[in-house]
Amino acid sequence: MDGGRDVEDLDALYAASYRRLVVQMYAICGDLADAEDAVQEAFITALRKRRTLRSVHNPEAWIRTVALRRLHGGWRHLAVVRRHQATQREPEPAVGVGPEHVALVTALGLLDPGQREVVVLHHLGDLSVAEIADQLGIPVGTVKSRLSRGRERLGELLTEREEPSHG
Amino acid sequence: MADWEQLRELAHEIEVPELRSLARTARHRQLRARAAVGVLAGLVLLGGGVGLASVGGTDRDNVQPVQDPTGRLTDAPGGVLPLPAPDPGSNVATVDAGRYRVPLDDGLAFEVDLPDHTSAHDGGLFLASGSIVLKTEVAGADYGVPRDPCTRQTIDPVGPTVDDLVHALGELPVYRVTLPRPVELGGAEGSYVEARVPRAYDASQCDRQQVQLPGDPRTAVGGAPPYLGRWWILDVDGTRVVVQQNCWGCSAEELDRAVATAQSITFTPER
Repeated sequence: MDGGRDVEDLDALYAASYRRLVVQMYAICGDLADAEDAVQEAFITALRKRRTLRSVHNPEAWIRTVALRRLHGGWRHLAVVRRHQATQREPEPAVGVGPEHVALVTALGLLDPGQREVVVLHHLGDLSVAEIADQLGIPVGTVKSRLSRGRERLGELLTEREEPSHG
Repeated sequence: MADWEQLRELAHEIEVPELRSLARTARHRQLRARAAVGVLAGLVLLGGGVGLASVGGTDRDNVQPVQDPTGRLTDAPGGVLPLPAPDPGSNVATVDAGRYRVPLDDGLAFEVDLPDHTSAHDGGLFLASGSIVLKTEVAGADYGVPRDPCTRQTIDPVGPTVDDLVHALGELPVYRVTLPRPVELGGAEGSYVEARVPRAYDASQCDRQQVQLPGDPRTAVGGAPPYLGRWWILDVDGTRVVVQQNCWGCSAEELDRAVATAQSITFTPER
């Protein structure tokens, strides 16, 4: 195989996709540093597994899947800690980004994690329902129901934010 | 309505690190993995114990779906039970009182007495009872300590031996760590330390207002003070295994009452 070509391909993929993948992971996890970590780790994995990457149909989707898996691990472990903390804390606000971004990401953070992931991949990652089902390894029907419920709940949360109660 | 375009525009503000820097990290990991495999292969040739060959081959970057390890545990002998399947729609299994077998990797497992209503997360990586979480894992080449548990939470590897890790724990800022003492747990020898972050520690300046625990970067957790933990860093037939009993916000007495769970551990070959 042409090693030089591999490097060029990965360079091009990195240049084209790094930022948008970080934004997608940020929308899912609500923490820009975690999002950057996840995407960087995914590219490190890609660098170590170039042979595998060469064989996949959609390298960006492969890297997104690796980044998502890393985020999933982080959530699970954080969830365990939170569940067993004596004092429950509110979700931390996003840092290092403007308030216009924080509003949407904060609302996303209040969704069920499964719904949030599907909503972000559909609306921000521009993936179809079938593509999401394929990449997450879940049935199309599950994607549809999560998307529907997630969108509905997100709409409610954003409306509540725009129209605060005066009672 | 959600303004997705505004979020997309955030991409323009994100700095892109050089791919070369990621490539260097990838190369270092590759070299470490090869070195570990070489050492383990040597140990196997010397007849060095149970299941060692599988340890270096564990690839946690693998993008294939993780198999549910409970699925392999169908014939545990002597009243030792496999962990039950996770509750529907979650990765958490609720466990009745009993003795359970939990795989650590392809070659190693442990058995442990769990009290009623324990919740088993991630196939037994975390076993939570009340406010106390027992975490048991193989501490491989990536296992390490945060550069700073508060402000620079990236975990750096500390080296492959029990002593490497014990030394690194003792050097950690933020934590108060007792002097290590020799210990035997579950048929393995190693070192025992207690670590704490006092309630008075101001974590408001820390990332996510949490203090990062040492660990494998893929499974490490953090929490808000106060933290109290008991750590057994063990050499199980050549495999470094760390058993942590962690609690955020509970007293030493509560942790003392739960220590019997950790002390009931025995390590066995995974079938």
